[in-house]
Amino acid sequence: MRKVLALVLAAVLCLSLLSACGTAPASDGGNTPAQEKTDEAAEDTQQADTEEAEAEPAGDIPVIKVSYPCLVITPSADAVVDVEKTINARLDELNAGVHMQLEAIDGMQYATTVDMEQIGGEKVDLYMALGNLSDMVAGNKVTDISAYRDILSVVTDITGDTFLDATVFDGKLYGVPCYKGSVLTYYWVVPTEIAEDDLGLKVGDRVTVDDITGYLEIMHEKYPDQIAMGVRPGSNGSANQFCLSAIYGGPRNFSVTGLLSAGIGASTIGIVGDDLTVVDLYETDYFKKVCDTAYAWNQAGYVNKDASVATEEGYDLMKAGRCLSYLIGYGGCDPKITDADTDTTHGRSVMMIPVDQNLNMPTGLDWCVSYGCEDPEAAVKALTYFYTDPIVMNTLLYGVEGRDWINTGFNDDPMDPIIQRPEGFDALSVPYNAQFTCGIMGNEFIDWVVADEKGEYEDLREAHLEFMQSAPNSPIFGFSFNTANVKNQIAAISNVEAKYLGGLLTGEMDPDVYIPQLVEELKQAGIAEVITEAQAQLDAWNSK
Amino acid sequence: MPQDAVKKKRSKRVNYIPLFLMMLPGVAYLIVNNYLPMFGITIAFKNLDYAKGILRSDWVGFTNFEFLFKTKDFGIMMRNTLLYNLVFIFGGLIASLAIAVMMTEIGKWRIAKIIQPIICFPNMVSIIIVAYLVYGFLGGDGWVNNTLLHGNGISWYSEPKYWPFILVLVHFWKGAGYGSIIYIATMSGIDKGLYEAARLDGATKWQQITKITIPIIRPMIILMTLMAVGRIFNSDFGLFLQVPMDSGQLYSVTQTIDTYVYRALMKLNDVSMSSAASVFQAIAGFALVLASNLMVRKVDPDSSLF
Repeated sequence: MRKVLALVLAAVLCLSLLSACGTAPASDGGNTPAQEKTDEAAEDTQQADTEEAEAEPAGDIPVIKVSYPCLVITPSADAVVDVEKTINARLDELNAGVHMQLEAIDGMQYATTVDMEQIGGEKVDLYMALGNLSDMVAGNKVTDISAYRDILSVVTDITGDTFLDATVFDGKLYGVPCYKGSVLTYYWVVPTEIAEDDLGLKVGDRVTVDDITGYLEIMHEKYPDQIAMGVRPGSNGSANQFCLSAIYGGPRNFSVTGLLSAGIGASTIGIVGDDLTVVDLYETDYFKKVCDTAYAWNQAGYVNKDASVATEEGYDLMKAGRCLSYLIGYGGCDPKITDADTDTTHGRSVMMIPVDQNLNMPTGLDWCVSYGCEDPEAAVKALTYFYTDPIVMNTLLYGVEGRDWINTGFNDDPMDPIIQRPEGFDALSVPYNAQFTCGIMGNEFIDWVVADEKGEYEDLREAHLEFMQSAPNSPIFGFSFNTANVKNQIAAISNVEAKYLGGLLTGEMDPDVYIPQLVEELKQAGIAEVITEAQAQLDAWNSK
Repeated sequence: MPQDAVKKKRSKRVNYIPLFLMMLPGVAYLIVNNYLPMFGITIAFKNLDYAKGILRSDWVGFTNFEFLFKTKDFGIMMRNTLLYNLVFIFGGLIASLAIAVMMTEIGKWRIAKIIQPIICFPNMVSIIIVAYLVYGFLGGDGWVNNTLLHGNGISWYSEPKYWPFILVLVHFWKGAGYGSIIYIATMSGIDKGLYEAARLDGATKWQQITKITIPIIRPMIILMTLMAVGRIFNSDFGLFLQVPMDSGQLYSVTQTIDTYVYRALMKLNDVSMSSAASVFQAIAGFALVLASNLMVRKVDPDSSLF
């Protein structure tokens, strides 16, 4: 009897195991429960996608999955379904011969989510390489779309022929950049009261870094208990700094084009001015100047204590009444516009005084076709509508008319209405809104203008376009460095940089002592090989 | 209930069938979860190409390992990883044992029910919060600088010399209480009669601990230590990256293999290279376990793992 019982128990145990194994992969694409929990939004969308696919068999029309990052808020699954229907109806109207399946992914998890889907063999067609295309090419995660250049001609008609140069590697086209300016203007943000009363500055003034040093001295003397210059915390392992490497790299200063990013605004190697010789930027006068300034500020006591490890943003400290100014870069703005900003971010009225801007560089925001895409031609075709058709583009950004937005009627053009949130809703509470992702979606200049609840709006698109076109281009605009052959060196270099940059860029380390050490360690890490490789690629690019 | 001996022998194998069946799920689990993924080790020797997949990617030999040995940092991170772990293993052992002995001693009082959760609590605190607690103490405007040192503070986050002590302290604050649980459990299983007999013979508390408690739980101590040795090349990532607020000036004392790999690959996102690093850690750790087990077997064959 006991034996029988034991057998039965054992059999039950086996069965339960098998059944557990059997159901798990069927219910979802092999995600672990933990992943599901952390990624609820994306998961919801996936479910919506499957429902959608079931409800509406695509027939002969290829369905292209568009995986896009959503910043600030990620729309719910139900909301995405309707947006998808609206877009597909519009595509039918245009006889596009392609449908879209939307996957809205939380921007903070976007890169990882897509990477996991790719490595797990899930369907990924169109996705956004957030500044990472060169690595994606090195890992063969993207499809060569050179064969579809003729389809893309509708895009280059709008953007100009050189537009696609930045996404060419070894003569092959791998992506389509977003059409927008990628110039950051750097501002010194100071409370209006102090700027006017203590420093004698007025709206419309410009300053240089040297001017700022002088002003900081005045501010420090008058308000010794406050931080005169707040540090900008780095993220994802990049160092804290004062944006000085970006500012001194601007066209009014050293005109530096970086080829290998070392964090916000800082680069490991690059070219200075118009000279096409690739150099170790840490050995240049430019970097010395950046560090000397930071060191002077730090030693004079203008900056945060423990600046290299501080984690508070300047505006937060300003709101808390502990900080008086900071430097920050804003994209796409006209440098002539000097904002007097009283918003809640700062807790007091501030003046934004332009210091310099960086050179116009490729955005690094590139749409590409994943390696596993079954119909790259249809994918490229689908992508073109983000550049050419305002309805497709803006439905993706703002959702469905009536539910997510209403037409104010301020502009008669049905393709370019001024829109508003429906009564009782704002940008965060409407069912669908991917507006905050607008800068990385496609053609920024066909995005609709949104009026606030009072009906006030400002159409800056033309100003932005003009500003983008007038910004000084980098002499090697369109060249990107393919790091595939020097991965080991770059890995070692990253560590050397992590060790020194925080201390040097915040002025905690004496540049005269530590820059030579940094340079020496970079040599050991193999920076010479990286420079040789970059120079070879640049020469090849230049000879074309 | 007398049973037929011959029949028993014959049916021995039959008797085991249910046991084997019961083992099956466990073995299947082990194979699926612990052995199949080991083929992933090959990723470390390949240039992972998404389009070709793991199996068909090109072999590149030891290229992916090069970045680990590229700079003089290798010596520093090996030294840090090993020395910190040695302190953590042996210091942790002493701390956990001490706490366990004390907890067992006060076990009969009602207050033990309050103290036990309290000493385990730090282990539940997220390392990010721990990092900010430490920052609250040591930051430029922190408690230590403002209150203890009356404003003439030390820039803790740029002075490497203090950090070996800070990190060890934080580690024990966080982990020692939790680490003692397994010893408390083992000690509670010791026959109380032994202590009574010892007391009757006039043994002091200290003698009871060294002559009864420690010898009885020795196999557990050896087991726990051997398991810790297997992970000696790994490090508590949060402790070494988050607690020092990723301050570059402290790398000479905070860089471990894990943080080095993290910093090296934050930008590259290279799966092959990060696999290479963990393969290195795993194999070196495995070799150490074999070696220390060999040593244990020489000294005390009964306590060795295998």
